[in-house]
Amino acid sequence: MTNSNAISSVNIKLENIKKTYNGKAAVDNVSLEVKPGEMVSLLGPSGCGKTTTLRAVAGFEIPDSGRVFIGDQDVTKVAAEQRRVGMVFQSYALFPNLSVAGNIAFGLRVAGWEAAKLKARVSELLEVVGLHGFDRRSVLTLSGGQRQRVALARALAPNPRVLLLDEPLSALDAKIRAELRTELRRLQLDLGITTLLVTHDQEEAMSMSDRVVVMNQGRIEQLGTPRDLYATPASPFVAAFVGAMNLMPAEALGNSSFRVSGQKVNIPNLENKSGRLGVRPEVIELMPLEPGQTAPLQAVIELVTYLGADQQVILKVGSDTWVARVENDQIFARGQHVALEIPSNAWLWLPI
Amino acid sequence: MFEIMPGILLVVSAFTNKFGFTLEHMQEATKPLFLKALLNSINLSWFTALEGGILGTITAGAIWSSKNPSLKRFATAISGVSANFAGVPLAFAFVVILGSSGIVNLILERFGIEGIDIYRRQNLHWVYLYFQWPLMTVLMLPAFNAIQREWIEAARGLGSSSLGFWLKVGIPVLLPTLLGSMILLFANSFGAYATVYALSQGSINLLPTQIGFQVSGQVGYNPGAAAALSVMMAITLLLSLALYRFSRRWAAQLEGAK
Amino acid sequence: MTFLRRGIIGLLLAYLLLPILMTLVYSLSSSWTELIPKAFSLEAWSNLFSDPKFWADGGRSLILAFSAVALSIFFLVPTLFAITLYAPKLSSALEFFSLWPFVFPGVIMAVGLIKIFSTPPLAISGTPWLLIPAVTVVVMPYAYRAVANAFESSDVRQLAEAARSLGASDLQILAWVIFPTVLPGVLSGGVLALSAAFGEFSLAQLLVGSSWETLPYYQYLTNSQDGHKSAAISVLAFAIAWGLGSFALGLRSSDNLKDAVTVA
Repeated sequence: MTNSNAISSVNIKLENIKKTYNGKAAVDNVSLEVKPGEMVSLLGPSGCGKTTTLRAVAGFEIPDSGRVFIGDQDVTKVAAEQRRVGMVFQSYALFPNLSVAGNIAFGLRVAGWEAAKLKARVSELLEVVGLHGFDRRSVLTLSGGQRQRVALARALAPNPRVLLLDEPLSALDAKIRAELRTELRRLQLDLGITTLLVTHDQEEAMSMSDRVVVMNQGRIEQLGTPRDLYATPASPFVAAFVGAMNLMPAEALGNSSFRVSGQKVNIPNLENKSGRLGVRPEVIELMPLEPGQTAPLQAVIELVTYLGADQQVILKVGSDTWVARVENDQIFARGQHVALEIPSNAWLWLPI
Repeated sequence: MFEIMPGILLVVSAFTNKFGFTLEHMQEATKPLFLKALLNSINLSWFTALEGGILGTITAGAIWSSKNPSLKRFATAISGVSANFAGVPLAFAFVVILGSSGIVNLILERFGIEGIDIYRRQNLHWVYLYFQWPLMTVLMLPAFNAIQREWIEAARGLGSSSLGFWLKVGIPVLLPTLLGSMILLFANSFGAYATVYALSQGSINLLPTQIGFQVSGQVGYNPGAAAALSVMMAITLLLSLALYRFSRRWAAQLEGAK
Repeated sequence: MTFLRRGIIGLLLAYLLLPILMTLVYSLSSSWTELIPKAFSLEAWSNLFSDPKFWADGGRSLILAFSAVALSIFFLVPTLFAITLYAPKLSSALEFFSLWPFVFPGVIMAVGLIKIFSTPPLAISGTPWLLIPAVTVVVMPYAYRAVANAFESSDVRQLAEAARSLGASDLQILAWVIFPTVLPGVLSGGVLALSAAFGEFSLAQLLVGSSWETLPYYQYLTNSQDGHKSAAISVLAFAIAWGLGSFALGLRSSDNLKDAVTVA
């Protein structure tokens, strides 16, 4: 990227946004600041309020209360067409009657750009999104990935102050999705444009953004860097939603020991309170047990799934089902008895 | 605006005269001649709805199950065009084939069969069938298309015969659309004016032609009675429309389940 | 099964096509009182085409049809746009309105309209200024289904939002994005409405009659005078309906033929 496109980044600030539909709060008192040049993801299951929050920034939803700022400007009551935000939709929303170039030029035409400047800008953007030579193509002839590139170019063309991405990759095939994910992030970093991304895919949120906002039932459950969220989820919801996690009720027995899945484990570095214990599948190690041998935490293998890079083992621990991801070098059989080895600092304590 | 205003005015003028509220138009409208017209209209309408409904459903089923795509397209297209083709040209085409020296009648008579006199009310349904049959066909096609072939295969897989499938699944799924479409056919025939008027110059006593007479003043000029008759007709049609909307909702529920 | 299937479809096609074919033959014959026409002539057709009244009435029918369809489209597209965007709850009300002409067919509407417009200050009864709006309303449902389908299938909301986030005003969105997007639907609906408006008889007869004669009325008058000429008009009308109809059907995907008819 050349610096001619460098955007003077501004921040996005939401203050106590509330939005109610039919008496049910879709967004319940959400406050959030996206720093200039930062990429932040809104992550959560459908109906969690993430899209409504994004649309409040775009101007398609007017919050019942609270304020929205873009840069220093209070845009709460500014019409969508005057906010100068770039928006990309899950369904691309390309204008079917216009060519690729016509779509990209749309915002420039509306803004009254002169023909020569407009043409130059369009070809510059075609270059940026890797669609050189596609100008005259009808958007209907493009693949999903190509369409989304056009949509991105169209959103960026009029030099928006911020970029809003609403599930931009969800309609694409897994392979294209992974490709475009990297590309989108690289482009965002190059341009330095403040970006808000809505997604239900935790992998997408983790891999693309500086910070992730996990939302549930209209509220922010946790806000942090991808590393923070994974290592120290603040709630069982976040723990289960971000990555995979074995999450079991645990009873504190005193002396740093807990009863979990019917077995007694000793975890010295956790506060000894009843609640839930979580452990990520990849920290579990399995050791075969000889007949008659016992271990502090043991399980019976129910199912082994080979995944290429590693294998997934479904375990019966007491009456609970656990999942472990272990390396390929060990061969396990159904019904085999194994000991579970978990480093004591890998356990997470969470409230009920 | 253009829809509601005449409607309101119609109701108002059906119940008022120079002096105010009156039932005289309603009384006028319930004269034997007009009541006969209403009865004739209802008879003709349900008969053509039933006739067109049955034929159209079978035809739609045949088109649906046909494996010849160009026949499918052609039959559907021709039905779509003909369903909307009513009026003066249609009336005359039937005069040509079934009129007093109509071609089909000539042929029938040659074989010693009595011809069909299209100017008689009892034979009017042949003309109506021209638009009712294809209308039913195009109305039923989407309902047939909503029946997924996998359903039949699933039913077969579960040991049900083809007939069993139609009795237990096919017909219940089609039923709301079938009834709704027949109601629509009824309304379509009930309101049809141009065809029958052009055919008979009004010598056939039906509700729409009577209304036409009362306003155009060829036989009797009585706008009040026309308004009252129109209200009667509109109520019948409104009822059919309400039934039709109900059947659509019912069908949507069934289709939503697929 | 196959035999039955072909049989019923063939029967329908015969029922729909034979009357037209026979009428065509009749229009080309000079006398047909036996099983086979005695003589053929183009007299009926040349009579028809040399009658200045035919051209005048045809012209009026064209004016009527095109202006009624244009009016209904210019009413429908912005209304559907506004409803889709700002009041989706009203869409079922609009759909109900589009069925309104079923409740108030031409005959009934004429009664109401004559009432309103035959006395000053609105004495436009008997003029095209009354006929055109009335026909507009009657043919609206023909256009409505196709246009509404185009709105439903093209995700107008999202397109409008995309355009809006790029700075476009409502008017720009309507003219530059929505109208071109729904154009195929508008065309196919418009063509069906055109066909209906062109053949509209009840309103033409009852509202204006001979004071502003259109083609269906012309044929109605011809019926009793010259059967062969009338047959020629019938064939012409079929041909027009056919041409317009197949054009309209060609504009949309073959699986969605349901809106070929007027109903929702």
